[in-house]
Amino acid sequence: MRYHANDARVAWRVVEGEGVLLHAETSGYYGLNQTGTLLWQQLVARPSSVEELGAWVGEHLTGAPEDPAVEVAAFIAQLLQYDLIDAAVPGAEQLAPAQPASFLQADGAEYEPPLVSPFGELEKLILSGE
Amino acid sequence: MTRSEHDSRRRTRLIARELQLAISSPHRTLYFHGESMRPLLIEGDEVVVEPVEWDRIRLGDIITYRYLDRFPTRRVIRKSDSGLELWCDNWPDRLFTATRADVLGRAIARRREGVWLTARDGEWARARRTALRRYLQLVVFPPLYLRARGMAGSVLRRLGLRRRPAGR
Repeated sequence: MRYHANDARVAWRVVEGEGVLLHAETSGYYGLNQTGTLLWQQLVARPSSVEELGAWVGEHLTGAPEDPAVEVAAFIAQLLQYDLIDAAVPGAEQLAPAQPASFLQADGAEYEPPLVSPFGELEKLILSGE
Repeated sequence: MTRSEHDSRRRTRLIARELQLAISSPHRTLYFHGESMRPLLIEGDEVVVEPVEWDRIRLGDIITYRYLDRFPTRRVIRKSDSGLELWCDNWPDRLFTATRADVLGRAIARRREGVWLTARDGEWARARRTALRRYLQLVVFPPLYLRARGMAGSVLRRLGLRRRPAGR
């Protein structure tokens, strides 16, 4: 099965190599470590399976374990739990957008077990003139 | 929690709040706090802010920008290459600045007691014109008027048509 980022409901940004995700409906926000961020970008760029992501990790990151798919699968399960990704509709990869130039570059990055950290929910944002 | 973990959490929260602003819509409004932009925006108004390109910011727009961990929302009264000068419609005696990098978006609609007012509506445009006119009257014209009066007085004194002020 392939998965893709739930970009209709999730806003995200990468700052200093780490991703921050905001679920628009629950207002839950999450932090990703560097490997998590790189995998998230793959899920934004195109629907991917655990095996494909594991192979991508082995190819692009240094120090990856022999079988990264195990840790990738745990990461995917976390993203599903928080409704940050969806199962992709077959054929959806043709519709995947081009990779934005602002994506964090992977080559040479050190592998660490991909992690998503929930930080809670945000209250409604207050704008202030004062 | 270590200090660096605390800082990291604080930064993550701030970025998430900026994302809240980026996905603002009529279904995901933001609250306005305070009386500084009265009467257009008052305490409790729901506001929609849209991302805006720098080149599309016009004088009179209401801009939200990043300031520490807050999101001031004020009217643009001057624009330069590096940043904006802003004021609050209800605080005409105070000027604020925002750098180009800190601009996050432009207010385009508000909802008060269930009724929407958008930047396309006449009331919004009138508030913009009124604010810019007040800025000219209160901030721009007085120095020009004083300078012109001083120059006229100087000319009149040189011509002997006016005495020097007493005590000088």
